[in-house]
Amino acid sequence: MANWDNQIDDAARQMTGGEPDAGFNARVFARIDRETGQRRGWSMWVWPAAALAAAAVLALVMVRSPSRSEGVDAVRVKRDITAESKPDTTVRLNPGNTDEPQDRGAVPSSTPSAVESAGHSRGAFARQSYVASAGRAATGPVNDAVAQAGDLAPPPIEIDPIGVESMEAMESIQVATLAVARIDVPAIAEE
Amino acid sequence: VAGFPVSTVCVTDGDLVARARVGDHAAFGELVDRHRVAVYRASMAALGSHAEAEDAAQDAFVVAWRRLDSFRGEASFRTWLLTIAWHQAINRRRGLTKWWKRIMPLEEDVNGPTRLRPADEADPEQLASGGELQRDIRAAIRALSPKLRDTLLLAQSGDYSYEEIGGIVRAPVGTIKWRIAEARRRVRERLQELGHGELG
Repeated sequence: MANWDNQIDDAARQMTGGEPDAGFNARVFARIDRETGQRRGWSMWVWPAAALAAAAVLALVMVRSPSRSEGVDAVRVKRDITAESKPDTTVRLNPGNTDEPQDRGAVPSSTPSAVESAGHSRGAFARQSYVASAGRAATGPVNDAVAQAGDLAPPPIEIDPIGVESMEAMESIQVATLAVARIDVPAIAEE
Repeated sequence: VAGFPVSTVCVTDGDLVARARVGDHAAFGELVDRHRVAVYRASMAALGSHAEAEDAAQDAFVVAWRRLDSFRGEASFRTWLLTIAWHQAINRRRGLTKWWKRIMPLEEDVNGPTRLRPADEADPEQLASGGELQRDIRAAIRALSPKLRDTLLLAQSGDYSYEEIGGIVRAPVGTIKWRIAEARRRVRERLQELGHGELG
């Protein structure tokens, strides 16, 4: 067995024998120098670039900061629009139209009859979207659904007055004073 | 003093590391000189190819240079360096294994160079020669599981103590000893299967 082990150890020694050649150190240092040079080159341009990027971000923030309140207004206006369209949806789902959601499954939304029954296209879209998102409500009493929808309606949102200045343009329309002849009504004599 | 070669025989690894940390390439060159054979043989044990082992050894020294600041001195520099070298070699071996499995169809042999020659292909006259025996032993070693093979090769490279091997492969010394004995037993069994039964 010892003879076997000696043979095995010899073979293992041969498998890991040898050593790197004389140029090994030079190759290691060439790689280190290359890596150090790359890192140095990287650090040479990365700091100015980072400073430039930081300045650009700062300038962008400063330019945008006065218009931040405008952005809030825009958001408010958008919410107001949403609030306006909400009553449309709920108003049109009144008990008089209880059969419309059930009929919608058979009639495509783009048919003339659907548009006519809706009256306004926006109202029709609102009703269709409601039916699409809450199709299961068609199986229950519609009056209850309408009542629930009314409960879920958000509270009124205060809307800032907008576009008042544009009303001044209406001053150009002048209506002439109508001359109305005096009508004398004789007193009714008591009998 | 300038112009005369300075002896670094009495300078410890720790001193060289301290000088290399502040950018002294000559100090790091001395460290490379001292440990390049051990690093190369550890890589060779993992990879079994001269070219791959040299590339992995270069990687290990480059990584060591980059991470000199993280060397705390808890273990010796040599153990720290060998651990880096081993990880580099194992990562390279994983990449090679993936590459080998990718290029080989599944139905064919996926063990690649570690495949053992079947016993019935052995020529009796060649079996009698020592060269053939050595070749079969190497093939049997290559066919071992990675844990057994790595431990056996590291132990027989002559450069590492059992404690160092345990530090490199992260296993207790008792496990290292068991793996070496088990690797030898399995190689013996395989050689007997191949018809080398007369050595006992």
